[in-house]
Amino acid sequence: MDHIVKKIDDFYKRLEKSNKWKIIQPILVDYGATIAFIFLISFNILFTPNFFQISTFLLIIKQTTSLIFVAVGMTIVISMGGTDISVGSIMAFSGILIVQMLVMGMNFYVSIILAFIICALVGTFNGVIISKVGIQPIILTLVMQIVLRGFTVMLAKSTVIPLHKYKLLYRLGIMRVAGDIPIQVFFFAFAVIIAFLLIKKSVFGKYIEAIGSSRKAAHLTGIRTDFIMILAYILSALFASFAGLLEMSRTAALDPNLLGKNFELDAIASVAIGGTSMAGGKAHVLGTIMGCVIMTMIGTTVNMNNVPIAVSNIIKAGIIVFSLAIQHKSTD
Amino acid sequence: MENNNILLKMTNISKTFPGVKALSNVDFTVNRGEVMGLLGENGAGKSTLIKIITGYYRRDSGSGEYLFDGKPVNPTNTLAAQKLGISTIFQELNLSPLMSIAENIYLGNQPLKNGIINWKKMNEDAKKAMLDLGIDVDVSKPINSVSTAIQQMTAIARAISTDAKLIIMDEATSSLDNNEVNTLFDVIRKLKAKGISVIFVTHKLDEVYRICDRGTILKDGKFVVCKPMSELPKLDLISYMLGRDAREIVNKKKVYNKEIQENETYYEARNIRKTNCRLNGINIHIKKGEVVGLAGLLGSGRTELAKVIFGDDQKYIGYTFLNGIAVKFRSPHDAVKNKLAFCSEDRKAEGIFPYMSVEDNITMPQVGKLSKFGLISRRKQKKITERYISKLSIKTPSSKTQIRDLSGGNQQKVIFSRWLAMEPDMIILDEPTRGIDVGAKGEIENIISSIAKQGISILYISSENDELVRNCDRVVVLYEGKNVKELVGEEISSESIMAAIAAGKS
Repeated sequence: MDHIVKKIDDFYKRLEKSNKWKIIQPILVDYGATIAFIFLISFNILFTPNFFQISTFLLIIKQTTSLIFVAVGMTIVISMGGTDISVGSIMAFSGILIVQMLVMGMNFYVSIILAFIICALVGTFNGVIISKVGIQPIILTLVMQIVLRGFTVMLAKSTVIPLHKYKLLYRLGIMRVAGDIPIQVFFFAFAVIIAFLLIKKSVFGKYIEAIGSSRKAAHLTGIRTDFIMILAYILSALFASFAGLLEMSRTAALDPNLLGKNFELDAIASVAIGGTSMAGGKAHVLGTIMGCVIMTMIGTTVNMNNVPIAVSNIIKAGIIVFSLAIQHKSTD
Repeated sequence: MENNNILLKMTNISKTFPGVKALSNVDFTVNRGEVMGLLGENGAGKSTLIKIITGYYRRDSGSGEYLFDGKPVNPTNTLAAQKLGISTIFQELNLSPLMSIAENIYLGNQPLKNGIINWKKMNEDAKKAMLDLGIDVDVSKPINSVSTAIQQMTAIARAISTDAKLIIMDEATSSLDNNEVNTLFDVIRKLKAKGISVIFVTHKLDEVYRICDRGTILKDGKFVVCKPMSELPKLDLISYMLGRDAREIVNKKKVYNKEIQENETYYEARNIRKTNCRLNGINIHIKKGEVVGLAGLLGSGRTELAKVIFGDDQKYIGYTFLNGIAVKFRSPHDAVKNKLAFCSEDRKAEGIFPYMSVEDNITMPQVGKLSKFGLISRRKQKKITERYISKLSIKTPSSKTQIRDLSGGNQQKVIFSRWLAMEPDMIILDEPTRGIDVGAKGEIENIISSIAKQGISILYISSENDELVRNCDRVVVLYEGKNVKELVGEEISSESIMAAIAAGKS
């Protein structure tokens, strides 16, 4: 084992010392997602029957939209040097809250807002414990993941709830605007714009990167690090709860065990592929979005070529390992 | 016949990186049982040379000769160099933090008994190895529970246990206090007695004179001179390093301006105490436009006081006043709002945002003000950055360059720019010239004196007394968390500061 590790290490050292790698590495980190995206598209156009149609693209976007929201929140949290693996469960939790309130006869919009507020409180809790108490983010959010999933299953009484009865919620899933464009496409665009402004252009985004770069330095520069960290976890929870609403309406059913399941992993993978530094300090918004589309397209590609769906997980894993290996920085 | 006394002989070594010639035709020899100082400014090629010796880099093919122990060698990695008997002790030590001292010494060659580790023998051996170095310590303690100095000794003991003939110490003293430095030097003398050679790389010139037998000076990748330290007076040494006459930089003293003492008091702290006894009732005041030096040994409470003043530490008792009004900062955020600034001694961990651009590093405390509806104005950010890049002559390829690619001196200038851009009333400088080479030090000190001329108060913390002499109007000497002496104007000298510290001790 040691022998192999040493060999890999030597390989990297040689790569890093060689001049070509110095030029190629940043390009791969920054544009790796774009390259993979182009590769996937060309592969599909060449080999997948019926792929090159507008409806296929709209379908991919429709399927990606919920993941995009989760991944935008994840980009914020990861580039701040944290992580949030409770988002999948928050999606389900937000879903069950909305449905429960609808069952109780509440107004559709009021129940959404209330559910979002409750999820924001969950995010606040995450942020406060992580920043003030100093518990490892992965541990705390793992606990939240388990607890919230438990609450969701309990509230749903372990049954799948069909949503056809709730007209507004059902319509949100199948609505088409301007002729034939699914409403998800607009949410997709909305997420991209918000993410870009929030992470790349705003003061908040700058503070996030600063904290990810060096929390102590950020604190000593007068940034209210705890406050910003709490805000990041709140945003992550809010994005997840919106994703929960979208995903539940798209599938027209609420399965308390499956809604949002593994979304945190797909989101982390998208962020990694996109070139956001896993150690924090550098956010790549467009990379993340590209990453999300790639994650969905892997599934679609496998599906449309009649390959068992399990294969897509293996491909995803390979891509994640590859993108992290590229990020591997020299310790020098 | 080769001189048998020579352990390491490198002749005509060159190393070319794409676009840069890091070393050109350098000669370097180390005798057996000798402490050789390797000196030069940042970028002079010291670390490149060290890395060639330890096999991390390879010299340009065909250039020169590398003889170790009389034989031509060409280590291809650090492990190969270790097998030859070359060990390196880095500033950041390569130890496993949770393992014991004994385990760290024998990691990879633990004494075995029937295939399992013989713990008893390992601990006994380790104890003996540490005692050999004059350190009496419980070797079963985890390495992260002992001081940096003991950690270093562990690394040295490890090097000896692998039969090192040459130990390279790269900035080994930078995180040690005076006593620990003394212990390290005792150990180095013991290594010498065993016939082990040491290459000593440091920025602290005083230490070079205390421990090195000879010094080799590099400048811009070229060999300058190699002389016994006794034939190399300090001013000559610095002049060699800079490549110009150093006399006018070193022997300077701040011209004392009496009028400053008439100014109003800007900041005052009364009877500052901390329960863990690092601060035992410090009183200090700083007038407008005054430069107050804070002298004392490591652990005398200088940095702790700075953190109390800046609001980074609230667990203290005492009163603080700003312009005569009682204030209490709950966080650095409060302090910054009140126009205080702080440059940490640990620039790498607490100062810079390594992966962010120079522009972001300079404008970070300002971005809130430079924004509309929460969105930052790039134009204003750029304007400020360009102003300070030219004002402090920061050497950077562009304002978008990541700060970690800049030299230490230029990083420090970026941090200064960060605070000057917010027009502070007072700046706390904690070891502002640490890890910065001699040439840039002069530049940094010039900036500091120009800051003081703008009427900004400065609290100047430094372990280098001549730096305080050159820059301060008044020096407060701390000892064990108390101010024991105050020196004003003409009274300030290296000797008077040392005397005050020594008097505090008795």
